[in-house]
Amino acid sequence: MANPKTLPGANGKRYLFGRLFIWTLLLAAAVLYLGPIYVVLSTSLKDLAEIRAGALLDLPHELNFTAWREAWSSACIGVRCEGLRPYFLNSVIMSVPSVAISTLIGALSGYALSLFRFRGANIIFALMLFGCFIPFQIVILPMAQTLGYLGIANSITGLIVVHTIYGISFTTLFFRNYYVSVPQELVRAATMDGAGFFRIFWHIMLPLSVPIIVVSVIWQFTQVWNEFLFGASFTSGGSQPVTVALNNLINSTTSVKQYNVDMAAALIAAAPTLVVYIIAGRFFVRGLTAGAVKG
Amino acid sequence: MSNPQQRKQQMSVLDRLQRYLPQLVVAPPFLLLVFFVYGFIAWTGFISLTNSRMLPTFDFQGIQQYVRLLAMDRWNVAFHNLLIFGSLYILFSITIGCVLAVLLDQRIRAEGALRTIYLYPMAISFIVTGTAWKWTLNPSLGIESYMQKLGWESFQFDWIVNRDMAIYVVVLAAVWQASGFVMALFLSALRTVDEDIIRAAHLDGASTTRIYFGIILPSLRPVFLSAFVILAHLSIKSFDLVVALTNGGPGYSSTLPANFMYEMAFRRNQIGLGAASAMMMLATVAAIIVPYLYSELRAKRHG
Amino acid sequence: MATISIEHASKSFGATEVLKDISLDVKDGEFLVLLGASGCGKSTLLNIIAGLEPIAEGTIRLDGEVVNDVHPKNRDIAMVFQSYALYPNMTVERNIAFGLEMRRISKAERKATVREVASMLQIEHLLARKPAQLSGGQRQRVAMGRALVRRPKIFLFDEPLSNLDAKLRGEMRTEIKKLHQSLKATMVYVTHDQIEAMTLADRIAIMKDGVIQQIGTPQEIYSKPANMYVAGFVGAPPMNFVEVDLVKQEDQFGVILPAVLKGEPKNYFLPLPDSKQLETRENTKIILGLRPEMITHNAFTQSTNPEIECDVDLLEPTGADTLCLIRLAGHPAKARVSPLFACDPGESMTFSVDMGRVCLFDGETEELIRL
Repeated sequence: MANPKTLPGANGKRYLFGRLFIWTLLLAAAVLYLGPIYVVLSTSLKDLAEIRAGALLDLPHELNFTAWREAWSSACIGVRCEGLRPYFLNSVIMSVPSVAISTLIGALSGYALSLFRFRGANIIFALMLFGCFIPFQIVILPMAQTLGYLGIANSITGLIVVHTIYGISFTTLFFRNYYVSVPQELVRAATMDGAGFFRIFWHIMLPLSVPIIVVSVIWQFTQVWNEFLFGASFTSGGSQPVTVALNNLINSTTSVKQYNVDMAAALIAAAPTLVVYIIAGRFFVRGLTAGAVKG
Repeated sequence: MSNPQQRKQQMSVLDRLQRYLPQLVVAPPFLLLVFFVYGFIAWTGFISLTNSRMLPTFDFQGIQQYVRLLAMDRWNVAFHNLLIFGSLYILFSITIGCVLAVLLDQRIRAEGALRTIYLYPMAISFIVTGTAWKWTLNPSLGIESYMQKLGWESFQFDWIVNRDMAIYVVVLAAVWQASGFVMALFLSALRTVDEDIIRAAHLDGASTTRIYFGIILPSLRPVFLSAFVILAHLSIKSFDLVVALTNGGPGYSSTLPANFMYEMAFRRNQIGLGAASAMMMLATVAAIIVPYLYSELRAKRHG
Repeated sequence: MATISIEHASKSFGATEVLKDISLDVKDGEFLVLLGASGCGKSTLLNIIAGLEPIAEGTIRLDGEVVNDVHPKNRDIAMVFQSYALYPNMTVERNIAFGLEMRRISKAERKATVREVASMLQIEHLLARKPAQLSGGQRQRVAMGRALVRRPKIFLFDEPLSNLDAKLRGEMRTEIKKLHQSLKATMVYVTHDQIEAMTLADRIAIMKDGVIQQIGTPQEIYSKPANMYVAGFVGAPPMNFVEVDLVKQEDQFGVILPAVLKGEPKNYFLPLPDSKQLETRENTKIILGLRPEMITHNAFTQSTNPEIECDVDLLEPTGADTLCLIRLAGHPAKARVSPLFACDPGESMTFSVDMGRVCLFDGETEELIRL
């Protein structure tokens, strides 16, 4: 820990002034970061008359959950007036398999790439790594065609396939970087003990991998849940994921704007990843920074 | 029953198979990636050289689409916006993230809570971020009217509907979302700085500020580089935030290349043009990522 | 029966050749130590025997059968690793039993065998623990147990003691030696520690840059090192090397040893044992190899060894002996004397030089000149 403030002579007036300065900046920043979510939350709990009165930053007069109910089950998105619920379920159905499959594949290929340094393993890894960075605009045209050929265009199955494939780069990166720090002698010892590739993976590596599995699952879930481009490009109507549905709701110009419903819908769409973040923030940070430490 | 000699030979075949298992296991995901990343890049690259419109055609016409692209005002606005957005986004995210990390590194009691607050925007989707800021900044009911009602009659903040300023609203929301992430990057790096160096500098009489500027921050150069690379490629990929926040408007004044591509490919039946713009995006990303990955992987191999 | 026979083995990692045309035979029941500095290829050679690294060229036979393509698990070999490589997620018991488990041996039998091995190694009370809860010495024992439990015909050790502190290392060394005596199994042991090599080995193979420099019993290696590298590597403090002129005085071959007495250079003529080998080398530069114990005080012996008197710059008492730092041919050299006879630093002292045991090396090739 880099902390120069713990040495003697750091006390006194200057020190107090410094602490005050630091705290002021930190709290001001906290207010700015919390601002938008506060506005969204308080708006979602107001009724329209109160919103139109223009007291954006004021607390709601009373807690009013009608907007939430409407956003969940009866708001009109496109021609359907069933609220966000069906789309929320779409997103659940889409994320669970794609997170599970891409994590499993990433674990296996990360294991093979890191602990069995075969010829070309580094080039394969570099090529996979580049897949983490490409702008997905480069693949949506051929992907739309391919999904058509496969007969899974405009379906949740199609989105599962797409998210699984493009998730592999990230999950492989996570597991490979994790397994690189596992001593190679462990694999050699198990080989001498008579365990093969899969038994070493199953008996020794997987039990060691719980932290990175959590990181990978959280990361993939956040990515897939929050994704918009693929959802908007490959689905329409009833098979859209929640992000696309939310955007349609908010940018619809057909009826009177119900800002409170919009805000409630935004919070509903954000809830799963926010909950994951609050419960497992530590792992979330590790996933983010793992993407920054490559090689 | 086979005789022992035969059995030994069979075993040897299995043993050989064992040796190639790692390759066999990596092969399927790798081939998937070769097809779905590199194959698709080639596919898009090919389409960009044809006059495809609503459906892909194989009418090869050279770099015609790129010529058209570069002559389009919409594309030039998008690319110009990317330059503004990208540079401000990177600059502010790194500055704010770095400052917050250094401040949090001063033995702050509520560090955990503050860190959670700074980082939570990274967990929500760009669509939700865009929605939240769009509502907060809308001129009729948002922060502008609130301030005016409070008595500050001349307060004006209508960037979101202002042709010249809309792109800066995108910067604002994007920095809000990403600066906490940069903070987390820097904070974890600060925690690995060797404390002995700091003690030594203190004994040499250096002040805290000088220690940070002279010793600690320069030693974090790799983190600056990582943050730069990550933010740079995120800015090129930026798409959803613009969709939710301004939808590229007013007009197309706040459009980014990613939005341009989507517009051409899915709304205007200009697949060839869309493919050409996607290739331009890929080239921009590659110009940043390829040297970075090359040096990272090389350094690791020698290190 | 378990013999190992390696013929013309070569191995490269990329552009670096780590093993160059290695041939080596290990007899049944022999304890062979591969000794060398890090990067000399000794661990790679061990991994090739284990089957963990495929061999690029040459053949490797176990009990006369070529096993180049045989998987490690089918070679009936066990290995103890430097980091112990215990499976962190398993208890000590399961760690030891894992090899049996993989060979589909029944649970009851596994349990019985593990108990037996654990009692032999005195780790029964640790069976329920995880590796993280063990001390370094305990982990080492578990690693040994994991190797022993399968009763393999060959044991391989890859620097198994280098992570232990000095005292524990000495104890475990003795135990490994006892183990070898009771099991009479073939063992190959890799180390960079020459004391381990000397104390444990039936034979030592010294390696450098992927080439075996010398194979022999510890005594052969110590007293007749094949070249200056071996001579310098084995023995602590290392052998003193002095570049000298080979001359003939009154029909007697000898060397001129330049020493320092009272700050002034002084040359001594030291006669060598008669040998035909020396005839052709008259008046050439050769390297004289003197182990510190060959330069000593001969108070109790009635030896006729030649004596030199020279300045002592510095003393290093080790308890049993005292090392005297002197200067020979301008370079520092060490002499080993009894603490009873050591002079004070800065004074001069008379040493006798055991010319019957000195080594001579060719100045060009650095090979031993066999007298």
